[in-house]
Amino acid sequence: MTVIGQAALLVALLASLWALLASILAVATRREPFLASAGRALGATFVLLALACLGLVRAFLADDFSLEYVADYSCRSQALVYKLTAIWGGQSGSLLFWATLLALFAGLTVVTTRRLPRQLVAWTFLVEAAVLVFFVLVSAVVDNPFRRLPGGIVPADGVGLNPLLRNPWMVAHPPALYLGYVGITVPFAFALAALATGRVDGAWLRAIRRWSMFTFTFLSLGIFLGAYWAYLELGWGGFWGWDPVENASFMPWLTMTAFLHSVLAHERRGVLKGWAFVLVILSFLLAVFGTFLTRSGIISSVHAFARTSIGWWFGGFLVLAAVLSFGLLLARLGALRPENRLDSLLSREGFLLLGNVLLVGLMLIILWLTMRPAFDELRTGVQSAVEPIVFTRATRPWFVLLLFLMGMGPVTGWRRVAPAVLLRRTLPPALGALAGGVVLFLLGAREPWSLAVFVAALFTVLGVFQALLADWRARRMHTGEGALVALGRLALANRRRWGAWVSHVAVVVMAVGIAASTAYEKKRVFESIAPGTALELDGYRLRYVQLEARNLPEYDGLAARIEVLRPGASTPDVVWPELRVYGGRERQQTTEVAILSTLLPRSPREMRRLGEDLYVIPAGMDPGTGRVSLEVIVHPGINWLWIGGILLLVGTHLAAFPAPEEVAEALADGVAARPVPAR
Amino acid sequence: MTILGFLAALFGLALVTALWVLLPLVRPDAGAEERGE
Repeated sequence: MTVIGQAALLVALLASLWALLASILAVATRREPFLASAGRALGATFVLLALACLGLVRAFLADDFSLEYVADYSCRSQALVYKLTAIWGGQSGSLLFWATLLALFAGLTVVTTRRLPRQLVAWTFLVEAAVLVFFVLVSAVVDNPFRRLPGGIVPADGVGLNPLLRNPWMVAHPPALYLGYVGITVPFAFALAALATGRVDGAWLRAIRRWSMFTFTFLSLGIFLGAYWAYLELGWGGFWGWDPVENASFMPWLTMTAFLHSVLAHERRGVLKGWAFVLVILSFLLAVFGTFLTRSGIISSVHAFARTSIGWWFGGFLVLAAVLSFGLLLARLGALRPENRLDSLLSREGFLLLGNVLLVGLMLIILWLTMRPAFDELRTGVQSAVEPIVFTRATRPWFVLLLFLMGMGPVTGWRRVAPAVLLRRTLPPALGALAGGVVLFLLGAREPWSLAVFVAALFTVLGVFQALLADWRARRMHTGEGALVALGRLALANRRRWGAWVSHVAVVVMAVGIAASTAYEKKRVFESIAPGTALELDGYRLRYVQLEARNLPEYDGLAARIEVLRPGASTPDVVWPELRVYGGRERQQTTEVAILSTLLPRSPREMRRLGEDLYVIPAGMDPGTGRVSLEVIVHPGINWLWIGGILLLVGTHLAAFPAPEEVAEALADGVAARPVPAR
Repeated sequence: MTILGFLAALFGLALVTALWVLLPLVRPDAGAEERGE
């Protein structure tokens, strides 16, 4: 099976090359057989790459350490699930996986574009095939996962997957993120096809609506799972450490968010047409840029793969893709004039434009700070580090502005809103938010930025609530339906709008979690404590009981039994922070933190602890004396970040699958908004 | 054995792929059938 996989990878390269050539011929000759052949070649590339993946999986399952990749990322004692997920644990395997997903998506576009204009489809295939050729070429020639160890050496055991990656989140986080990254290629291909064929009206946007939502959902899910995982693992800087690779996933997320909003404005009002193209192209380039960043070694990062020449392949591809796509955009600039003028900045499209500017501005700031160490190295020869706090300081005003802006959507309408009307609609949520801010201040929330986030969050939530209330009242008045029936039918009939609002509320809930946990964190270090010692932090009473050895097939561990009495509780909970040493050729150590969450407060006094975590880090353990060193942290409100993340997925799901009448209404609006041609 | 197996797989897969991919060029109606025309 492994040799079949190895052969399949080479044939996949040929198939993708033919897909590219056939789609070029289809574009040039407009002959259908070439297009059909290109479509088949894209499908065949996927089947062949899937075979290659299976071959690699087989090598992992059979402990075939003659392959360098298997010897580096697996060992005999590795659990089955981590032998399977090791396929994306290292560089060459993850590139093969990336190429396979790309081929799958290209194959899916073949199936879903049968009714679209043929020239648009031919160009879409061409762009997809070109990107695919690059990834398959890199995987088959530059960094082949089937490469054997030099000199025919077969080690008795492998190094084993980095223990930090032997974690259930390894199953979900990388594939989700890759689905998001790779998915951007489809909207990108359609955008370039629309530019190349001159069909820059809304047709391409309608064709990729689902794809964009899919990409956005998986990118969000990937980032979200990554943040949760980083929170659980020590040494990754908490849920967000402004690590270059984290930033690399966040930047395309920002531009995709801007894109989805510009599509709304384009659909409804025929404005922001050129923006949509710029944002899709940027998102694609940023996704590839993330790969370049991790593979080139130009920036040091906790996620970085070894410094290899592969980064420069990605660098070259990035430059080529940027020049070609922006060149095409410039060539079509004349056709990208908006169909309508922006009537007023005081309108929903005006606020969408402002949101777009903020999102792109935020992306540029993050890009600049991420790249600064590399620029410094060019200038001075030494790579400087940009501390996370620098990122936080530079970005937080933008985040707060964005949070306020999210509350403006529900209170404004399309085209133009009279200032007096806007003031009347904004006043209730604004006053409510201010009052809430004063109450929180009196309760002890004194950190200014967190207070600004809380007020902005309240403003958005109240704004959404006010809009929902108005909808609900109007429906009841018109239909005479009961309270609950009206609410249910409203939600079903306006999935898109509800989805958008749920997403906005989700983001502010996440922001509250982030602001609360970072501004009001409490921390204490307890050095070398003996069994039986009692500890105290922020109302939590802890007692270290004893050390216990845990010897499992995969690792040897030492766990500290700690009893925790929550504030106001009478029975203790038990947590087990642990230090582990994993087997394999190189014995690798990990630190497993213990977390005690307060999701449901048991008494009214515990309300302020809603969503709080007690986080216990084992800093050191001495099995001889039984003494341990612990770092104990209280993260207030951190669980709101995770709750908001789940809510965001619900919101995007709702928005991705609108009721048919909503789509018809939006399209009718869009048509009505466009000027009638003179002839 | 491994080299032979590899070569057999390579040529076998290449042949099947080429036949499948090039068919619409030899029989132009093959693509139309797929589209349900």
